[in-house]
Amino acid sequence: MIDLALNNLYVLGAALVIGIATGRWAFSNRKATPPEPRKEDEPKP
Amino acid sequence: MNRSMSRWLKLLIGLGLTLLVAWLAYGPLGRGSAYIDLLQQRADAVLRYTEIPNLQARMSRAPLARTVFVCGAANDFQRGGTMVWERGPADYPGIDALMLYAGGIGRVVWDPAAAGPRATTPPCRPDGPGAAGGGGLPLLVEILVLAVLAWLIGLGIGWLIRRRPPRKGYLG
Repeated sequence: MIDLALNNLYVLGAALVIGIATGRWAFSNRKATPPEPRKEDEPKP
Repeated sequence: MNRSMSRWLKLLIGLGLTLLVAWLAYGPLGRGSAYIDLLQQRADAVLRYTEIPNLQARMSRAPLARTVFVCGAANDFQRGGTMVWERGPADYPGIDALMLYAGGIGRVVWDPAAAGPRATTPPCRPDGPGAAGGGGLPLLVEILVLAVLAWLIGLGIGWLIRRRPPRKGYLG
């Protein structure tokens, strides 16, 4: 099996890259809430 | 309309793409056949090394598998050798073990020779006896399993370096 893997390194490398891209695509989370205003920035009466 | 895809659908697309790439390399690009050709050369080299006459080795090609079919007249000693000590200096590994030590070959099956009445060299069937003769696990299945394992490793790396929302603060 190791010999087979060594003879198909390009295929396994392509599968690894596809896996990385899939992981970044499927597990990405960009739904960020806007930051709350800091108290120091609020106008003082 | 919600255009965002579910996570499972994305994973399914990635897995399907991986299987497609592995199959393309195995079949249309000829990597599977080339690998079996390499194993055939190793099996022939083992037979030349043993210097036992009238032996032939054929890799399984229907379907492609890492199984070598050896046919010809060989006694038990020539097949199994002596393994008193595991690969010790006084041991003769025999054809079975030498084939497995050559690398890549997964199984050795002795195919009963279908020799003609006056044939001096028993002819092997060109592609071996096939799946019915004990060809073992097809090479395509092994390549697909390896590709899926590599894809899973990549998936873990992709999860580690996934896009995260920006931090709100130093500890957030």
